[in-house]
Amino acid sequence: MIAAALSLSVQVAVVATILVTIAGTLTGRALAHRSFPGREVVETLLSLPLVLPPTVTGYVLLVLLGRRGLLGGLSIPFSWLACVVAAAVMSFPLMHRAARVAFEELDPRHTLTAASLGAGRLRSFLAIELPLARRGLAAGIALAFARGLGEFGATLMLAGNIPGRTQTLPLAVYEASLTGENRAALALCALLTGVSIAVLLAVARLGRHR
Amino acid sequence: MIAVLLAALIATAVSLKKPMDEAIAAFSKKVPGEKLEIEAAASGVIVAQVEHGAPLDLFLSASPVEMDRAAKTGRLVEGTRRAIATNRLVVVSRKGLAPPKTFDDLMDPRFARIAIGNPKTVPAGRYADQAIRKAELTGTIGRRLVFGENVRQVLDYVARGDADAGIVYATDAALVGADVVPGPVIDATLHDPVIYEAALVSGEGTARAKAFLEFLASPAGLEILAKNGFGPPPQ
Amino acid sequence: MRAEPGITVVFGPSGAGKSTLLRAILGATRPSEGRIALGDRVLFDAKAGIHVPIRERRIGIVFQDAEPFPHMDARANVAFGARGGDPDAWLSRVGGSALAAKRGAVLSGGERQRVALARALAAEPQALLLDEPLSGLELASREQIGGLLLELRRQARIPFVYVTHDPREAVRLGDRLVYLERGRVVAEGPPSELLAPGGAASPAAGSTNWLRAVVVEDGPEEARVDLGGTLVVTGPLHAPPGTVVDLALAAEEPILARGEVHGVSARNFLAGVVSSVQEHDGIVVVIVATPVPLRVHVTPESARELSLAPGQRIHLLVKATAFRP
Repeated sequence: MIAAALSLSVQVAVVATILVTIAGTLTGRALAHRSFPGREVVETLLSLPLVLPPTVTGYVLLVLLGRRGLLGGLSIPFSWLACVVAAAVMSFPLMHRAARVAFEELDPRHTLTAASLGAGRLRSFLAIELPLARRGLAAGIALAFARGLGEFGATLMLAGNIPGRTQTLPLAVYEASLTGENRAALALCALLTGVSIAVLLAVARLGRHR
Repeated sequence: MIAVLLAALIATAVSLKKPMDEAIAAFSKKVPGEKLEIEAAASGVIVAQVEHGAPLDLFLSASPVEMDRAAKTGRLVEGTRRAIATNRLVVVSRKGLAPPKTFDDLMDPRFARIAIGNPKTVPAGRYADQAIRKAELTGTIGRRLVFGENVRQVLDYVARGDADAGIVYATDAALVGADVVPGPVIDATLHDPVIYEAALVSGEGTARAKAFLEFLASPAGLEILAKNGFGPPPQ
Repeated sequence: MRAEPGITVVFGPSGAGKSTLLRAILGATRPSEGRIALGDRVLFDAKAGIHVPIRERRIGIVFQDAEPFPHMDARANVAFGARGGDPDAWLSRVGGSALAAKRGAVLSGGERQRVALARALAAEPQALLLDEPLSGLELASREQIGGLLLELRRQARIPFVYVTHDPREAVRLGDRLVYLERGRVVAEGPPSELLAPGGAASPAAGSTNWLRAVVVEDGPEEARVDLGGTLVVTGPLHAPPGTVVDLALAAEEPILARGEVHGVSARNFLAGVVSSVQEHDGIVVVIVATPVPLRVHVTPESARELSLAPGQRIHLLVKATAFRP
C-alpha cells in the first residue's frame, strides 16, 4: 500500500508539475505588464482553484470531465490521469502567480535593449527573460510540486480512492486513519513530509547557487 | 449556544439517513424540547471518530463489524447495543444501458466501470466485495471496480454515468430517479447478513439519546424503518 | 529636430520630455502625432499609420545605470546582437578587453557602460541613443567614459542622440544642442552659445557660467587661457597650450567695480559692458559681455549703489582659482 501510493504520488506530482510549469510560465508572462479590459477577471479565474475549497474544485472537474461532461469522451475520472488533472489544476495558480511576479520584476530596459539589438520576441523570451526570471520561476515550481504532492480533496472527488491505481499518499493516509491503522497512517505522514522537505530543500539550494 | 451544546448527537450510516430524519421528526413531536442532531457518514468513518474521542451519543452502524471496532474503544455504554434493521444488496445500472438480468451479467463488457463502496471503510462495499468473491466474479470484474466513499456517492457515480453499474442497498435503489435503473437483488447467501446495529456512546448527551433509541426500537420506530424498505432485525 | 552624424545633445530641465523623446525614437512608445525618419527610412508616421517595431529600427541604446545582461559575460553581451565582426574586437575598441569573461552582474559602473557601448555598436546601428549615460558614474569614470564617447563618435560616423541635464556634459560632448522645454523644441544650435547666459537654453543651465577656453600657457602655479579673445588667469590646468578646456565660474564669484582697482589679490581684472540687469528672488542677475557673456549675482543694494544699467562699462574682479576646470 505504502510503496504503491508513494510511487503513484511521485509520478503524478512530477507530471502535473511539468504541465503546470509550462502553462503557468506562459500565462504568467502573458499577463505580466499587460493591462487590458477584463484583466482582473482573467486573473481571478486563473486563481480560483487557490481559493475554492478543493472538494468544490474536484466536483466541478468531475462534472466537466465525467462521462456526461463537456470533455466526457476522454474517460478521465478514476484514472491515473484524473490524479494528474486534479494535482495540476490545484497547483496551477501558484505557478502562474510566481511566474507573473517574476516577469514583472524584470528590469524592462533589458527587454528594450534586446529588441534594439534585433532580438525577436521568442529569442528575447528564451535568452533574456527566462534566465533572469529563473529564481522566481524556481520558487513557483517548488510550490507547485509540493501542492501537487499533497493534493487530496479534488483528487478524492475526481479520481476516487482506488489502491494501486489512484490512491496517492494523502489518500492513503486518509484511509489508514479511517480503518484504524494508525501506525501505517503515521508512517505515511512521515514519508509525505520527508519527500516534501527534500524537494523544497533541493530547490532552495538551486536558487541559492547564483 | 447553550441549546446546541445540550443537543444529543446521532451518528448514522448513510443508508439510514432518511429513516432517521423521519424518526427524529416523529420523536420530536412526541417528546418536544429534546434537541437531536444527526450526522451521516460511512460507518468506517464514524468508527474512526469514536476511536478519536468525538462527542457522539448514539452510533448507528450498517454492520456489526464496525460496531465491534467501536466496542473495542470501551466508549460504548454496556448493554445498549442492539440490532435494529436488515437490508439487501441490489445491482443498479445507468440509464442508456441494457440493465443486467442477473448478478453474473455484470461480467458483460458493457459494464466497463462498476462502483461499490470502499470495502475498507464502507460496509456496503465490504458486502459487495464478499458477494463478488463468493460468486467468483473477481477475475472478470475485479479490475473494473471503482470505489465510492459511501453508498450515496456510489449511486451518484452511476447516476452521472461515470460508472456503468453499481452495488448498493435495496433501500437506496428505491430512492433514485430516472438516471439509475434498479436491477437484480443479490443472493443473500453470497455475503454476510446486512445487520444494522445501534449503541449508545458514553458522553454528555447519552441520557437524551437513550430516549430516542428506545423510540427506535418501539413499534413506532420499527414501522418507520419498514416503510423505508428495511427488513426487521433478526430475532 | 535633426541629428546629423556626431553628438547631438538633447538638453532641458527635468520633465521636459527628453527621455520620452528617446523612447519614441527607439520605438518603445508610440507618439500621438509626428514623424520619425532615419536616413530615407520612415520609422514612424502618425498620419500614415506607420510604426516600425523596435527590433527593425537598427537603433542602439545605452541607458543610465542599466546593466549589461547580468547573466551573460561581457563577450556574450557584445555578441548578442553583433552583425559579423569579432566581439573581442569591439571590446578592445571600448577599452574593455579585460572584461571579456566577466559576468554582467559583477562589473563596475564605468565597466558597464563600456560593455553597453560595445554591445550597442557591435549591432552596427544607424543611430545611437544615450540616456544620461554618465549620470550614475563617479567623477573619474565620467571623465574616462566621456573621452571614450568622443573617440567613438569620431569612429562611428552615425548620429548619437545624447540626453542630459548636465550643462557641463553638453558643452564638453555636444556638437550641437537641442533645447527642450515642456515637450517642445525651443532652440537648436551650438551648445556653448545656447548655454551662455542669456542664451536660449540658459534657464536650465543653472547659475554657473559654463565656459570653453583655449590654453595659452600652463605653469605649476597658474595658467593663462584665451576666453573668447580675453586673456584670463586660472589655477594650474596640467594641459599643453592649444588644449580646449571647459571651465566653470560660479555667478557669485566675480566682484563688480565701477572704476579701476589696484592692490587686490584677484588675478583677473576683466573689462566688460553690462548687457542686462534683472532682479529675481532678491538677487540681481547681471549679464556682462567681456565679450564672452558672464552671469554675475549681486545684492540689490550693491546694484543700486553701483547704479547698474545696460550699456554701462564695468570691471569684474575674479580670482584665478574661481575658474574651475
